[in-house]
Amino acid sequence: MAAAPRDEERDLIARAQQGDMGAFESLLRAHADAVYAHALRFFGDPVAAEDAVQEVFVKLYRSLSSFDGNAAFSTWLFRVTRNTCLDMFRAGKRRPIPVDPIDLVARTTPDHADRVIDAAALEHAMRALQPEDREALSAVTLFGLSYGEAAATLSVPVGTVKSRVFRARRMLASILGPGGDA
Amino acid sequence: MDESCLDAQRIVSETYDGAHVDPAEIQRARIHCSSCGQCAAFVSTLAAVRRLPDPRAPETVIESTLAKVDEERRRLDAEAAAAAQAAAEQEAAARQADETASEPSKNGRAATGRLRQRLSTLPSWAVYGGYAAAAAAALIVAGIVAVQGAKYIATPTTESASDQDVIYVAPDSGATGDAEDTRSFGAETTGQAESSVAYITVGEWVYEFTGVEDSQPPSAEKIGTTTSALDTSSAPRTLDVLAFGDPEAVLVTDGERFLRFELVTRGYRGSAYAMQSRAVSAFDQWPSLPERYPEPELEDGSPTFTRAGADANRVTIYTVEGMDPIRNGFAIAPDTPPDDPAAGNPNWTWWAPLPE
Repeated sequence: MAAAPRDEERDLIARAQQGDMGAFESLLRAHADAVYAHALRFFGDPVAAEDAVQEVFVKLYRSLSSFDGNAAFSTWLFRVTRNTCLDMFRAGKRRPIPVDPIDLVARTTPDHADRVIDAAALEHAMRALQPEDREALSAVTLFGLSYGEAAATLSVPVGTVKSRVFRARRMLASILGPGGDA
Repeated sequence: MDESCLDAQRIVSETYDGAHVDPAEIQRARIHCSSCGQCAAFVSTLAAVRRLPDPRAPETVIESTLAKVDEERRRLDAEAAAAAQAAAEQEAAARQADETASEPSKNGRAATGRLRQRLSTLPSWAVYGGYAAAAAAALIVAGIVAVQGAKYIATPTTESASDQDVIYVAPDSGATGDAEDTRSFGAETTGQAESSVAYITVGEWVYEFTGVEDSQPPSAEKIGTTTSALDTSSAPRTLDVLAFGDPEAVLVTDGERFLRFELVTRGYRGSAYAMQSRAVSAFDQWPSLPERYPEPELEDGSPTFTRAGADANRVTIYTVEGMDPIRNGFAIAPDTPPDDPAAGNPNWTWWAPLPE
């Protein structure tokens, strides 16, 4: 995640809380990729991902004054992002696009010997993961949360987060790797 | 795949995430992977996945999100402004009671209780209402000027404004008249745009033309000079600036005519602020930012300014980062509402607190 270092981020948050829109924009630019990537993998649809990014940052702007800095900003951001995607799904605004297994085959290179994996193949493979596994992987890899932070945010034991992340990786390896399904 | 494979792959996965793993376990996993094709493939695939970039938010998404956030900001500001207005009015009423009639003049122009009192009891834009009579008189003659294509400065005369054949024209943007049809509105070139109102600068303070005095008031006293072209066809020249007992206004004279100008002011949080600008020396030139503030590059004021709030009329207040807008002044973006003191000005403007 291309986020600012913690000190710089704290400064940006403090300034944004005082109404500095430039600071808020810097925060947005630093974290928009993670939010977008999570939403894109959740919905499989760039338009829905854009809606989610907008909604997440509007929510953040609204509630920025309540952020006390006790938790890491990225933890808060992940929670808001996750809940926003789930809310959009539950409200029927957006629904994840189903994954066609044929796509998974088609999008991975046939030349397994070279082990060339392109980004599109990876994104399709991501969509094939179990939602809870993908969510845990997203928390750890996109938002940079520790297992403990992810566990607290997802309200599950640390061991469960570890298992979900591992399961997600094995599934990705299974789809994308030389000995995989693809 | 057996248990040792799962263990090795789990350790690799956790190591990737920066989790604390016993070095001995890592070593065991390394040895296992070097001799197990399946686990080596797992590690290799993970490494390949790791090298791939995650999806990035396109710039269009960031821009649309910023626009949404700005929309939300405006909505919240409006709510806050509405809530604050009642409190501000109470504060203004209290200030009104405290203010005295006037304060000693400083170089012939200083803040007065009267000005502050007026600002505290009226919306900031209402100060302009006081100019209506003078502007209306000017407009009557402006029509003649427009038709005849005459200069805007009268020949020397001591007659009243309404009796003159031609006069310095300062059409009020809120008034009506044929003269407005002949003038350029809405030009967008910074600092060079033609204004719908005539301005001069004394130092950095911006004054707006409000009328013509019949003669030099007895109390008039020279306090400085200004460089201005008083019509559209003349070159700028140095003119005397006189104070005449009204600390909100000055007279500008070439020794024969006495043109009255008043400070351009606005209220914010119960205080009075006056516009400052780099020199306005051409007729119909809009005021712009003082020299010390570079023109913002973006609509949000950056990199020069950052948003600091909104006034009671929901006009966004901008400030220099780290600066207190109430104590040090603030900037206003172009395109303010029609009833704003900066209405029509295509430039950013700066508003400084009136000196005590």
